[in-house]
Amino acid sequence: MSVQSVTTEVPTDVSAAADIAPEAQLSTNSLELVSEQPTNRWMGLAAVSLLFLGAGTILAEPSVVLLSALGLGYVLYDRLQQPKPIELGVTRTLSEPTPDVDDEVAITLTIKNIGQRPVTDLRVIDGVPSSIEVSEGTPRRATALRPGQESTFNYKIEATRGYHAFDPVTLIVRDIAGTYERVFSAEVPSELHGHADDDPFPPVTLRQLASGVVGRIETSEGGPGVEFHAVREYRPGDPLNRIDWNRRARSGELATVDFRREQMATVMLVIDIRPSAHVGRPEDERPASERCIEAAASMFIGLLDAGDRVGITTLGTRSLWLPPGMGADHREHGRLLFTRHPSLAGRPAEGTVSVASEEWALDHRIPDSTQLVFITPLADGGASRYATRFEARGHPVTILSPDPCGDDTTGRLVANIERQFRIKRLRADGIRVLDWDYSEDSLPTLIERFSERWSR
Amino acid sequence: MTEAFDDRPTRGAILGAILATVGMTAVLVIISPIAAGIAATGILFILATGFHGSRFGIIGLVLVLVLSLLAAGIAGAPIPSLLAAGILAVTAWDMLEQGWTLGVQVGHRTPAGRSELVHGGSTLLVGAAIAGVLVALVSTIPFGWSVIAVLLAILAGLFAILALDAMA
Repeated sequence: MSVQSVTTEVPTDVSAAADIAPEAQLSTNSLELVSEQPTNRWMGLAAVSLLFLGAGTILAEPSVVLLSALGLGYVLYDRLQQPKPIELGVTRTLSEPTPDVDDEVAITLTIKNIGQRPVTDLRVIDGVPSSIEVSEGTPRRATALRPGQESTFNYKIEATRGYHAFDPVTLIVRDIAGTYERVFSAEVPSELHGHADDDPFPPVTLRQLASGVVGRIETSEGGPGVEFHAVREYRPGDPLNRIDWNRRARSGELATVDFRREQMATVMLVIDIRPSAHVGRPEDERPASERCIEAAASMFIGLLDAGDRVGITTLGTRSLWLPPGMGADHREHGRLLFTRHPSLAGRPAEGTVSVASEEWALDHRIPDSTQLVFITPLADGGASRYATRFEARGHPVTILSPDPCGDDTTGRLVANIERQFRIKRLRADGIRVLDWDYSEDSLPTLIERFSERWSR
Repeated sequence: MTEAFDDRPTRGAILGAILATVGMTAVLVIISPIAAGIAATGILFILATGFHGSRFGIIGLVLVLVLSLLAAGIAGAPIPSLLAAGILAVTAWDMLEQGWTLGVQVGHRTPAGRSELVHGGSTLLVGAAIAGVLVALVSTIPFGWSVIAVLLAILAGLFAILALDAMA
């Protein structure tokens, strides 16, 4: 087995890399050999040569016999090939490592033969993150490189929100006869942070479960506030501005006016990122799970602005957990999570997800008197069971559900009907569901419409 | 996305294989129009592989090229012409097969001209070198064809053993 090495340049941040001397940008890592195998592509020619030899001998045609010698010469050429050490330098640069969502980012991949031998057949496949789509060009290239020569190619990707790490570059190397094929993997770390301007939405109307701290949720308890609740007998210590002076003038009795007590809500945003949420209509560029993440990001800001304590977690992975909180630091923390956390990069969660176990984990983490805003396409029964169980445990649930179903095929129509049944059952259980047809309504419009309905 | 992954070979490989097949046809047309005609049908297999992407097209190409060479040999083609046709036949197959693997691994629209040129060129050069040695042997060895045939038979046996060894 031969020894190979690769030099990788690591400009994860172009602007930062520009401040470093070119020679300092290179760091040598070993090129990982993934597989090495003979292609046996010339074996057929050996058989053809034997055929010519036999035919030439039987037919007494010397020229046909000579053709077999030509074939055997090629087979000998094949047998003489041996895998030789190669040294390659791979560099990847991103035109903008922190682009805005939907911006195009130019990727430049340069491969340099820094060894002493030519690389006659090199096939390069860049490790574009699976959640990112190539918008122009191709991240693949085949070339041949003399010693010291380099090949550069460009392609463009469309930035999506969140953190995306590039996978290793795959290099497939064949010798000049194609006798051996070796596959190498080269780590060239690059990261892309798709930045979205998450405009805060008008906060969704929350359920009547409050935290006991003054806020915007109107409770059925009397106390300080704005909206009239009741008049009660005066108790020593009641503030003077709440004494009903009209009654005092009429009857001489002291009475105190109570208003509806307004309290702060504690809200947990739960985003469905399970593989089953990674669905969408054929005409959609983005799956429903990505719309869920976008909506959650805007709702997070909107609820914080309204004075609620807000936390973030996901259904699909437990690695993302921001406990309910408020304030500028909490807001920045949440914003960074939406920008950089791998779980919020629009990829479906890996592996199978046990909804029951996720439910158990969340139930043990969320504080009492927390209500859930569950953002899910409701593409399967697991999501609706999850919501129903939390509702039953005393955590009021409001669901925002981007509709991923169309009706262009029978299968989609059936999925749509099943989803509508789920919504109907959830509403029957007292759970508020905002069914969001994003082809017709913007989310703020939908929230305003439902808020009007729920406040009646 | 502009990528395309299927069993179709790269465009450069298709062009190279067609050029080699046309060259082979041109070499054979004066010696044996039948052999040339058979070789020309190889272009159809190349185009079929290019449009539909199937390894069967490559196998078909090999079959017609082998048949064509056999026909030319039986028709008494001169050794230099036959060797030239043989080299072009190997080049046509080699370029198409390499282009097919390129198509599968990096996409048939991926620029790969440099790799194709180096590969096809080396196959032609190696073939020319082997042919040169063979012509030199034929013109200098005084013992006649029977000796060459025996030598080739020994070589063939050797390679058969090596082939079996490689497949084991």
